[in-house]
Amino acid sequence: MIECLVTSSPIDVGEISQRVGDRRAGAVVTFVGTVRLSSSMKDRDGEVVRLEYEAYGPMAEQEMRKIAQEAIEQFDVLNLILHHRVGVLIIGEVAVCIAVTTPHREDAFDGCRYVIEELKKRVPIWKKEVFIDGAEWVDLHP
Amino acid sequence: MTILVRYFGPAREAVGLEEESLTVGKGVTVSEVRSALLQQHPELAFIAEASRFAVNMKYSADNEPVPEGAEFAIIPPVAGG
Repeated sequence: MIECLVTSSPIDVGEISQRVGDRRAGAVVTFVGTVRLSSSMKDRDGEVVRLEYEAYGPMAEQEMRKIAQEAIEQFDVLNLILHHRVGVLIIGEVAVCIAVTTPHREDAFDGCRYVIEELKKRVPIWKKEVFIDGAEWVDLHP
Repeated sequence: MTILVRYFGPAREAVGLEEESLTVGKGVTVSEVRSALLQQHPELAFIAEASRFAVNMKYSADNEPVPEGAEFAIIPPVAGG
């Protein structure tokens, strides 16, 4: 089972971790990405007020499904649920949740890791860090 | 022929539009559309080098053709997660 979603609603991590379960699985690994206080820019540490996420929704879900398919092929993944939030998020909120089930734990860790790393490279989602006195798109000038 | 150009994130902010239709010659390539867009919107220059382009929701190389009615998106450096 693969489920990939870009959503403006809050992400329920517990519900996802439970629903990804499978009778063939010996491992569930869930990665939760949260909004942190510290900026990606060194001189802005600790000043983030909120994040604004924007996605090319249909293409983002399509890329997410491709990545999920690759994880299934490379890491013996049984089920994979991947939800990414868009809109305005405050500190501590869940931006992304990836839950993976596999027969054995190594594949669950590796598969989950693969999905988040590829998501960061390929999925058309953008985020803007908003400070008290301005805002910056993240990773715009690598 | 006409294509639909879509702008996201920093590109949307720079141009001030979410999308617009663009008239281009038949058989144009991704890099030709890119040049036309830069001419029309010089404000995109600051991200043009770092951006990728998607034709009908697939990342596309410079020399790939852009079909009539295509959805052509500028994909600035992504930052999901």
